[in-house]
Amino acid sequence: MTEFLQQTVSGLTTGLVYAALALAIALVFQGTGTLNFAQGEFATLAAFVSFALSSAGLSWWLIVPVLVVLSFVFGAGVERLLVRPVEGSGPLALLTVTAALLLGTNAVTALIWGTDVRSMPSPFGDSVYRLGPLTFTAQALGGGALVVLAMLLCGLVFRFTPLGLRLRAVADNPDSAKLLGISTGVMLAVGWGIAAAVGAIAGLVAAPTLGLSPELMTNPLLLALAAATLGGFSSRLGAVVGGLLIGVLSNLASRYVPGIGGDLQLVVPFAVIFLVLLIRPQGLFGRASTVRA
Amino acid sequence: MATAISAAGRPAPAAQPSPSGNGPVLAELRPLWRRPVSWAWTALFAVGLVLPFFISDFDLFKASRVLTVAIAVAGLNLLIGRAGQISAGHGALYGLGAYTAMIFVRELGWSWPLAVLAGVVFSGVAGWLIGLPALRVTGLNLGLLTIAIAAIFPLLLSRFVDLTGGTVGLQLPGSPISAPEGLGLTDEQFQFLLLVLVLTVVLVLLRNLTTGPFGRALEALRVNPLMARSEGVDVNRLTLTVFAISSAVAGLGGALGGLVLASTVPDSYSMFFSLTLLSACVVGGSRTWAGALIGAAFIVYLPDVISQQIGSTTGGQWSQLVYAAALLLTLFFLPTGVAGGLGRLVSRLAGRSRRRGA
Amino acid sequence: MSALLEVTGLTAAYGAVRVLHGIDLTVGENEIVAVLGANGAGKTTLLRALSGTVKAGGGVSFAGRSLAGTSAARIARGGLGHVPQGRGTFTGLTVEENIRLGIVSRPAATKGQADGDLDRIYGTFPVLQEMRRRPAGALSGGQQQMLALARALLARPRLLLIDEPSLGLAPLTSADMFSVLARLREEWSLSVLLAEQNARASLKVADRGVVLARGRVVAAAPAAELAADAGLRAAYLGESPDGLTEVAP
Repeated sequence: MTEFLQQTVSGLTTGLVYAALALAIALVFQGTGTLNFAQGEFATLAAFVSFALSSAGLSWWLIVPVLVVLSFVFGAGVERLLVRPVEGSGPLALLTVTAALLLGTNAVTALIWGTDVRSMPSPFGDSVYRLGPLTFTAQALGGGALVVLAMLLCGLVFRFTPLGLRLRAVADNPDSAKLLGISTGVMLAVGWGIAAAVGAIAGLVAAPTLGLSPELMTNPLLLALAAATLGGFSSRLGAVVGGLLIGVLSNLASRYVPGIGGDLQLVVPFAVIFLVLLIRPQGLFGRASTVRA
Repeated sequence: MATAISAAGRPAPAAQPSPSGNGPVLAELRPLWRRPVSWAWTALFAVGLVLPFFISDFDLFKASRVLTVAIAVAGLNLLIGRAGQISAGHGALYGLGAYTAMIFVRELGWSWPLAVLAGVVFSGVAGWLIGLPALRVTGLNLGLLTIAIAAIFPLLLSRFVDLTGGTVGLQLPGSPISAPEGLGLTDEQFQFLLLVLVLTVVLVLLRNLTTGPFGRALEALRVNPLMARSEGVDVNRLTLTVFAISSAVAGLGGALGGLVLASTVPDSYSMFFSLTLLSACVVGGSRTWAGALIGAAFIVYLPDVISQQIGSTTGGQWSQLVYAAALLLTLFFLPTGVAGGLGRLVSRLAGRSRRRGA
Repeated sequence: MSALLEVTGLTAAYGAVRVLHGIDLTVGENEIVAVLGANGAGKTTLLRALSGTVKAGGGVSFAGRSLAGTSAARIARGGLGHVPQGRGTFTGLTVEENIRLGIVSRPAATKGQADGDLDRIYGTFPVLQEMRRRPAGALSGGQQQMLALARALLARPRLLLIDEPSLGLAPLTSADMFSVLARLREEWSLSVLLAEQNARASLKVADRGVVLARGRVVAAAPAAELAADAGLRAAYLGESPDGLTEVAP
């Protein structure tokens, strides 16, 4: 029983990373109407940047806000310069742009930092805590808290601020938004920026555990896509819930289902994507009418 | 000539650019031997037949790879350019063809033509299965599904070690596609000529497929699936068929590619390979068959060119960066791809000279 | 005093198909002008061209400034509101959130009065106050029309373009709609350019009327005159004796 609980908790911890990445993917989907396949690579790049800043001696208390700002600018810039030109050209063009961004960002990361896996020290230290029969590392607790905080802030901005209202309006009905004087272009760029910032936190939290390399997010991206599919791309809450579910599911499957271990764990997200798309394409929380294609 | 002449005396603009530049109707009416494009292809075919005797076996080997990739990209062009579907996973289908052929030769001792056929069949069936969810989901979701397939394929290969040799893959001592006795050709020459023939047959078949009733139904499907349905097109069957054909063609390329190389390794068929194929399709031009060849040449030769300039350690990554940049530039400035852009340039030049002549 | 809106030689096309062939019209301060005409006459395109949703040629001057080349969002922020055909509801947001979005395009100086205006909106449209927290997609057609109006009003436009508000509404709801429109000018001191197929009801509410046919202005006169001219109505508005609009011949 303890083992089961431990695995579940461990699944929740990794699930938080998937949840944050899935939230980023959902945000871009709701605004621009495409799936950003490069979201994982953006997060990897952010993780490397944080590593570089940390190696340069910056305190983690400074690195996190700097990273958020840099990622925001990066995401907004990518939207403005590289995505905007094809925004009216149909789903294939948009998807291909994100594929290009995936290839390009991955290449840039590998060129700057090389392909070796580095171990990145945890910003939260190496302590281990016990709560009853369960064990938690500082990284898991601290990382988890950071991700939860990032997602909460994001949710608060969207739900309760005028900016968030405008972002949601543009996602809901861009033509009407324009008629109300909202600059849809600016809002889309902001959306990409927020998504990149949330993804950056995910990358930052994942790196110490998974090892820092350009391949850091190759698998988590798939899990995040499955999470967003399960939760529903049109729901921010769905992305988060989906991430947690996928995290727990993958962990339990790799532990208890014979044959699915290590890398093959990825059969789980694949199966989830396949089944959800066949049975209920809008996911658990999504709205059927907004399956944009 | 029945070109529509407006009151100003200039030919009316064509509704859609076509390779011969005369407008869609006229392109169909002109006999094959009159069209400049046919002459270009014939010349290319002749070059292909003669080439093996002028370049080294090593260069031929590389060129053969271009041809196998071109076959696969042609399949992708059918799916994306003609049917309007999305696949970010054709690398997996190419790999499936390769591994199937390899296993049939290595484990079951089949001759290479039958093994290749097996590869085609397996890939075709896999494509049909992928087409099933494509009936329910479109666009983005399909891209999602296919990229998931692309990502998981190498993992499945690594996992089933007994069948696939795991991460090491499967190798043969030499390529089973060997030149028959008495022809006086080296294996590489024979392989290249074979591939020239196969690619030609594939392109001709695909071209005929897409200019006939099947092609018109595909076009209707691509432009407006709902309207196609109301016009009597069996959308479901058409979609499944086009997925099957496209995947079978990719498998054909993969099977031949794997056997020519005499080695199949999971890393060769990664998600990045699938995305690279997608780049070849888009950069070459997804609606022209020449685009398949151009795109394939681009992705096969570029890494070598770059490695020569920069060195082989980071060559792969720089190549990837160039693919990404080329993809973006093509999407922004040349949406019909290099082949499409060239086609339009040629038709504009030809139109100008014709007007001057008339 | 020059007119609030001056349109000269306005043309518009969808791709290669020309829809408006040179429209001239003016709207003065605090004036309600009805744009009438059958289906396909170009009423919707005219409104879209004015709000910048559709590219147009010719001269459009609003409050003395040319709108040529201005983006739709900027035109809206300049005080020209547009309630589009089909309401344009943000179905995923609540009713109140929908209305509050109107505050975004208010002139910066008046943002402080926004809350006061919000109360007045709820006064004019009590049903919206009841349904404040419900998702806007759950509202009926007539309620969504009220919502679209309310949202547009909260932006305090100087000129409000309204496109076919009675489309798809039951007759009783439609009558309610028109009585609201009648009071708009007094309660909110703005001008209205109203595109409608229901000529009879529109002319009762409007000061002047402009009749479009096939992308051209064929008649422009005070509303009372147009209402009385049965011949005009029959020719261009396809009205049958019982006053219901039919598709023009």
